[in-house]
Amino acid sequence: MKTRVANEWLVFAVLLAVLLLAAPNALSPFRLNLLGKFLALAILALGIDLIWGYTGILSLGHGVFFGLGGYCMAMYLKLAVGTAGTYMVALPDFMVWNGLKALPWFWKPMYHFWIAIPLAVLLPALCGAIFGFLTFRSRVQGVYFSIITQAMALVASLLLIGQQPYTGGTNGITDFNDILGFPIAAKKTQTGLYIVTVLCLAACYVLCRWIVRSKFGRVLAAIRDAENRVRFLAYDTVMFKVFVFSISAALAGLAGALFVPQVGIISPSNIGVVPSIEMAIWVAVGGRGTLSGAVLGAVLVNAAKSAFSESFPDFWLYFLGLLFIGVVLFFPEGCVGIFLRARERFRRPAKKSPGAELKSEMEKPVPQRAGGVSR
Amino acid sequence: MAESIIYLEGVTVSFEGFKALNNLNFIVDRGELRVVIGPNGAGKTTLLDVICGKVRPVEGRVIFGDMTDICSLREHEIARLGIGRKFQTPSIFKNLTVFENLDLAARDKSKGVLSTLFAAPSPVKREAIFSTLETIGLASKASQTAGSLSHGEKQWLEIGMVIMQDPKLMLIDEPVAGMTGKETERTGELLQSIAGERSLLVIEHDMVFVRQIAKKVTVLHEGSVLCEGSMETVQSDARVKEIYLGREAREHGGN
Repeated sequence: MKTRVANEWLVFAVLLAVLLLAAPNALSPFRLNLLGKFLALAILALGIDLIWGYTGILSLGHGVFFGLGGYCMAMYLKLAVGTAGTYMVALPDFMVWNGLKALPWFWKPMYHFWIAIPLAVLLPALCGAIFGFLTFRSRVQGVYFSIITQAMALVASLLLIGQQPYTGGTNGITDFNDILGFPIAAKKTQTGLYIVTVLCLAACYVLCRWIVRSKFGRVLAAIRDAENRVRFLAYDTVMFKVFVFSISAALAGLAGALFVPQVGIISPSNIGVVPSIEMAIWVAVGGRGTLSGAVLGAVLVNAAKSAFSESFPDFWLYFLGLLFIGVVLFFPEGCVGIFLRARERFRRPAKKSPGAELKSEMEKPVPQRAGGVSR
Repeated sequence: MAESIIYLEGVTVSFEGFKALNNLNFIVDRGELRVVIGPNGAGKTTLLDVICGKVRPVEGRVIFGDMTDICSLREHEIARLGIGRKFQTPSIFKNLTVFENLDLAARDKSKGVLSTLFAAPSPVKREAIFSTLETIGLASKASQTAGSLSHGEKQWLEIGMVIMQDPKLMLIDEPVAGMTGKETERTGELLQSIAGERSLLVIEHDMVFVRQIAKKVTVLHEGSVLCEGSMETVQSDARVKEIYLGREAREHGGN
């Protein structure tokens, strides 16, 4: 048990070193920027895994929380352009051509980096908590919850598109110059953003790992297995679900805030129904109920998306759909599940495979746990 | 008369017009082991559902202990007062180990979000869990996942979880369903050893088992108490014979 945990941290340290030291030197600025984007999305995947993989609640609306974080960052970056924009006025370009004369009130705090960035995390956390409280309190469960989150994503994207003078509409917010005074497109700035993203991902991974290994994490697993039972054991399951949903939303917000300066744009097409579903697919492909699976899935699927979109832009969505169906039907535990199973077989070739446990486990994966008891 | 642990007064539960409980009056004394029997649809499980807060009565009061009306409380609040429930079909956390199942069930000062996030393993609790594991005969399977247990073992695990809750009143729904004769007997002994310091309310179909453990039996019929008393009293009651035991006898005769 001890050595396995030690091994895990060793892998973690090596990966971190590779990402921090080797990647910036080995990859071209273009590839490094792409990797930075994938790793930002991996933070969001961790959040989805907490709520879906560990608690069994499928959210198909995490694009909204991602968007809240992303738009906070984009508003800051847009205001940081100042009078250097196309129209030489202190108002964002899209407000000028939409006929706004003054900055709307909710834009004003975003002048300050140290307000915009905490908001990028706290706002989604708060919205997640309120949304979670209202739905979980009235015992909305299973597929009904997923449908409501889906509706939330649709409403959010429609709202953004409809309120063009305030949000930039379909085009979203783009054309940034500086972040904290550094030119945003410069190689050094982008490398810096990449490093910050890696560090944030590492911190979020450690946070999530701590959560799922705590007694709280076992309550989450219990909720996934038999929520009623948990209630009758004197746990207020509503508060547990609200808390984990809120954390999950905060991680999505952070991902959005890191995504925007590296990609240079945020628009409703990043946060609506389809992207929200895609986010769940990353986690399904990587492996629900394992944190490494969430990270792996986000990077793999997005890397595949980049590769595919470069060569066959029209076929990406079909491929994604096939991938999802394939994973759900044949590898419900995703890539990490395949790996763990292969390792199991390799280690104990004589013993019978853990097939009995793994079979028909669509609803949930087998999480790797430290366990409360030593063997 | 001894103090009551649970007292239902004029309780009616209605499912879309069907009255699962009909103006039910029902009392269990402190430290008592009460068995509730009755034909299917008599309202036995609904009675437990009302007491643990799963179902809310449309009329009547449910008084726990001295004066607490639990009708307006939510499930986890009722559980915190000291009412534990074992369900009819074993309801356990199949992906957690047997030990972890009991650990989650164990009574704690706080079962909130923060206290579980920062919970540290406690040797005292560990001790208590292993003692319960001995009691329910699952000590050797502590680190197995609960999903891998046999049906009877799952039943015991759930009883163990209720014991770990350290409740004042235990609601036990069909504890020996699917158990072998020997397992049934052991379960009976276990329940009898628990009664006394705690109060038990047991629902059971297995008449052999009921005879083994019951001192006082309540017969429910169509949502109300039909008859109450010792096993002999109940068995000799003509109405009971007609609606329940008689029918059972006919069924057995028919086989």
